[in-house]
Amino acid sequence: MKPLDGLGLAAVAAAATFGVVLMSPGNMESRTIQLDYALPPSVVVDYEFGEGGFRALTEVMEEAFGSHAAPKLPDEADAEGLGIAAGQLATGREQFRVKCMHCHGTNGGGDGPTAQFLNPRPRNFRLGKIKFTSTAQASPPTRSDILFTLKRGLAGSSMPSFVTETDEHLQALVGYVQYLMIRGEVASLTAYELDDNGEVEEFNDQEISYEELKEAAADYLAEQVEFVAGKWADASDSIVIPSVPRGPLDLASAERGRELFLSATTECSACHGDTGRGKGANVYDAESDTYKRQDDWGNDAIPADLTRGLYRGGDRPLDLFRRMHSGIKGSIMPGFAGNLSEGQMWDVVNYVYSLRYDITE
Amino acid sequence: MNSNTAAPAAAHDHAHAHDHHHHQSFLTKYIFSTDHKVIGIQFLFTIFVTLALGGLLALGVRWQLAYPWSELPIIGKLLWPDQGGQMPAEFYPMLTTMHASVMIFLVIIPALTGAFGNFCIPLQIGARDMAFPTMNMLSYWFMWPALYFFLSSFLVEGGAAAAGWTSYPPLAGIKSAAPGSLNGQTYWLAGLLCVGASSLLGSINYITTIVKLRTKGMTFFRMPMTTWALFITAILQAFALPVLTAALILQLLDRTMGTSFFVPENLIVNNVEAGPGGGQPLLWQHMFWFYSHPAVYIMILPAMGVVSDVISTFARKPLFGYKPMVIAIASIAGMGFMVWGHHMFQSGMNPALGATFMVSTMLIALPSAVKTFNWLGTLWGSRIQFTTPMLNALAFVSMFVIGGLSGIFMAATPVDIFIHDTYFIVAHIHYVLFGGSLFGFFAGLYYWYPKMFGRQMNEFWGKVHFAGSFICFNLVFFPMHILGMSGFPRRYADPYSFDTWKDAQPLNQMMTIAAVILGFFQIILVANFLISLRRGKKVDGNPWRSNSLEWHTPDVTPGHGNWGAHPPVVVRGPYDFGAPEAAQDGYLGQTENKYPGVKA
Amino acid sequence: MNKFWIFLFALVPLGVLGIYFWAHAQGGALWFPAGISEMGEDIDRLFWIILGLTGTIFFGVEALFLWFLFKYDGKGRDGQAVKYTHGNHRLETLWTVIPAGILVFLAVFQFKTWKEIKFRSNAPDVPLHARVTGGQFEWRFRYPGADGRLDTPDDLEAVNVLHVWKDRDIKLQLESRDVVHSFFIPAVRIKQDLVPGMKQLMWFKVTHTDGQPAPDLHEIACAELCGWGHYKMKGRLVVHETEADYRAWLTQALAKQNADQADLGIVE
Repeated sequence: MKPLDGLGLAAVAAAATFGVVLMSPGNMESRTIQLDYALPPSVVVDYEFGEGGFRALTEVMEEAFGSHAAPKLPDEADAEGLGIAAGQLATGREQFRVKCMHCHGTNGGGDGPTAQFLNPRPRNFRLGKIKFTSTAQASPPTRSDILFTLKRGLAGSSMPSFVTETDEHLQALVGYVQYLMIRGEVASLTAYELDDNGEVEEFNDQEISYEELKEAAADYLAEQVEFVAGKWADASDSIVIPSVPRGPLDLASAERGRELFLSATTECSACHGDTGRGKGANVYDAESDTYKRQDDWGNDAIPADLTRGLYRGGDRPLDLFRRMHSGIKGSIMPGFAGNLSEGQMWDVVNYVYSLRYDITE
Repeated sequence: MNSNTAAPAAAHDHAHAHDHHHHQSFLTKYIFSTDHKVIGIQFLFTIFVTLALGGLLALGVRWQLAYPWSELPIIGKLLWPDQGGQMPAEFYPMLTTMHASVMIFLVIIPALTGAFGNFCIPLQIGARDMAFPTMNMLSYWFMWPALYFFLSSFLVEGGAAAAGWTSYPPLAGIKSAAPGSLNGQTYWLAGLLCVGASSLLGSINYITTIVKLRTKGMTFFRMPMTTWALFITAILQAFALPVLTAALILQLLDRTMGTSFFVPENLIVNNVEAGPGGGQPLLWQHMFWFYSHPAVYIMILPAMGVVSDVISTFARKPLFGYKPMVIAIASIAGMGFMVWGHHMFQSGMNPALGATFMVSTMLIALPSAVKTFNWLGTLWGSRIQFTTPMLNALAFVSMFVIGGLSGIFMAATPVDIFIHDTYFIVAHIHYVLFGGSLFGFFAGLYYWYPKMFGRQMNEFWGKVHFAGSFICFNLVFFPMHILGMSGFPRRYADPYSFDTWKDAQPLNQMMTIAAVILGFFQIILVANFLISLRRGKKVDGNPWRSNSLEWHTPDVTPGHGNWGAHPPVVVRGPYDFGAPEAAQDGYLGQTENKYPGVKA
Repeated sequence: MNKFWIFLFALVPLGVLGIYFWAHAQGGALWFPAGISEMGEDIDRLFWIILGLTGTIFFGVEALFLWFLFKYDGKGRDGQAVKYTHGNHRLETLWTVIPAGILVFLAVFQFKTWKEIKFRSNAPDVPLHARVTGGQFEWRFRYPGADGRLDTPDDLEAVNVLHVWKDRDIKLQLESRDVVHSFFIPAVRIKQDLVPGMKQLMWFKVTHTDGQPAPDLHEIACAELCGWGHYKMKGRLVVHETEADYRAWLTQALAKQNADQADLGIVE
């Protein structure tokens, strides 16, 4: 071995040792993922706040809702009332990061890297609503609703079932999803207030200082937190439970349901098609193979093919009843609580089941 | 058949004494060369690039397995800034798919059949060049469109193919099934068609050259094992490739023209209707594996040939059982066409076929075992020189034993029920392909470097590279047998979400660290290779005192036409070390020609 | 210096031995999962037999290999004679015929187990327990209702959790909704690819449980790459101690599913 070779060997050994230490679990454990919250894209696009305005809004949002490293709910939100225990948000964030973020995005905006390849797109939580709930149309979901979606997935979409996860993780995720929904909605509402009441314009015209702008933003934010959190706290008051039994799944009920399906009262067939396979004339242009209407998130509104037997919001009779009663929030599927009696709603539900089961025997 | 003058018109015959100049520009001499030696070296340089690529992809896989959902070093923040550098779920199968695809089609096959095949065959049989030099050049240049397709597949919408190197439809065939299946898969298919063209052109060339252009005295049973192995491998390629090509074209048609060769009826994937239907996913599997099983023998047989040459040379003793060794290689190749179903035991194929494929698969272990015994026989009673090529060849033998024995477990169909698609398979794959083929490649590289460049690679650093690679290789891949025993699944971005495999993370962390160090040691190999081009020790025409013909060219590094005015005449076999009439050190060349720099 | 190389090569068999003992001591994720079925026992036994055979061959070959490297080290022996031979016909015959015999025997020996687990003619004569439909990225289980037939309104449908009971031949129908998946229950040692367009059968019997408070829980995994969520398809096998337990769960689950005047939750 020549001296230069010996030196080289020592260098190789040193480099290898250094590498081992660098990559060891002990060293890696302290490296956490750095993420940033950003304002919802809709806020950034819709409002011309300028740099100062957006900075003020971002700062008050962070002061109220914390950062990725330390998420929290502002006091006005009454976390306990929402069902979120102390320390749960951090667990929820970690679970969300590992299991949900690549689809639902860093801020829950449905804009993760995988999202563009999914059909339908993952939910954007930042509008403060989700499609499939047990509550009345105007109400947010309950914690149970979020938990049910986590546990049963959304059949016919890429949202899988997480029923085999531990209860601790599931509850933490529910809380974190609530957090993302509340945070997103509050950001939009606060931005609206700032714009509507003119503080941003005043700041841009140098009539008020940055501190005054921020104070105004913080006040509006506190108001909106109370408003939104209040809605959530009241959600369980509006859970839809039928008071009329379903009755047997027989031809009579299904035929009544079919009449209603095709009637002008409901216009189901206008969207779902005469045979329930979707692509109804109201929503689908066959010539260009495009859908004419969008849901609140800007995605094509695609009425379900009811013959497939894949019901995204759950396949229990109760779930289908709730779709009839409260519709699908944020989409063009209306609720019929005002137009149909509960018995009639059950008839339509039975008709829908008859589209995939042979009930003539 | 051993006439050297009955060559096709394209070969140049310098038997005529008149001046026959070819004006060669830099372009025609080094870039678009038709000289088999240059082409072999071109393959070699390309391998270093693709080996680095395949290795980096593997490190991405290993990183996720060690520290799932952490920031991917160096490139994480560049690719996914808003995810904090964390790789998204669809990137992981892309990594495993492209790692395997690059390693198999752009590294091992070109390294063994492309680099060594081109460089060694004409020299070892005494020919002036390949039978079809221009076609030979094309065979190299087809690798570049392949590399282009593979690389650019990362940049298209949806990213690179992500359905496994096995590309099972409907996952691979239907665009909505995976992001990688949107566009990347089409590029993958195109890349593979180019590799197939390259291999097929090469194999036709090799077969013709070996059958028709052996020099006087070079009977079939005096050819060295490297050439025998490459010959049989070429026949394997010629028969197996057309089936792969057909399968690739069928999948391309499914993806681009709306056919349904592999798509059953009424299929809706990711809420997108998949096409008319009427096809069968298993058809792809049969066609794919009909090629891909022989492909694994394409990847191991040349290495076995190299190892036989190297062991005999550095044990200073004839290869034990030359004819049985040849028969063994031919048996592996022949039987290799009858075992493809062992990849499909759990696939839904008729289980009765499982029983028959179990028998043929068990039996194919036999010729490999025979070869191992013969290598041991060569070592027995020998005089071993622990040079760098020898160390790598010895590593081949011991690692290949492990790889071959682990194959018995998966050949056992009931046991395969449990270990199919687990890390037991990954362990087996890497022991035969890395422990076997790659160490065999290293052996050949260190061995033939002096004949390529007239200098020797640095022995000290060659040994450092060997020791580091050998230790790290075993640290990375042996534990995979253990993981396989617990059912640890393949291609999982996060196996630790399962209670069954939660506690396997520390072991995986150790394996990843060893893998990074393993990669780092390959830098030593490349540095040694490049630096020795200028500063390596200059050697005579036969630094290893080997007997085979390639070491007896009139120039240290053979010139155009290899043999000068007079092609060599072969008088004995290639491994007559230690014969009574041999030199003191055992040397007894295949030809009486002296090589430059030799004393008696 | 040459002895260093021999030592390096020797590290391999030593390391192999070491890692097996270490892994066995660790257990958990580094050893076989606890087996709960009879077919699992058969498969494990075959594994051990093959391990014994290959292990013996491995250590034997390695020992010979290392011994030769040691004894025939050429250092300082330049010019000494080697055992000049081109081979030995008798040896070739011996080491071809004997391994061939062992290998063929090994193959034939396993036919029975393979047939029992996979040949449709050996499927138990029991009603279908449930249909398993694999899809991107979850398992859907459909149990026939009181009418004993699948695809009727009285069926029970559940996601990711499969309920069975002990000492009972469980027969499942396997289908795929989209791409190729593979239904793998490590504890049972059973695995079968789900191919779209094919209806397949799988059967197994759970014969042991851990004796913990019932019911016994085991994991189900997907064993064929099916997309970005391949690793997400974590299912659960719930083994009830008795049929009565199972029927009780089934009744309760159907009640949960069909409740029309209260929300009783989802089936788990």
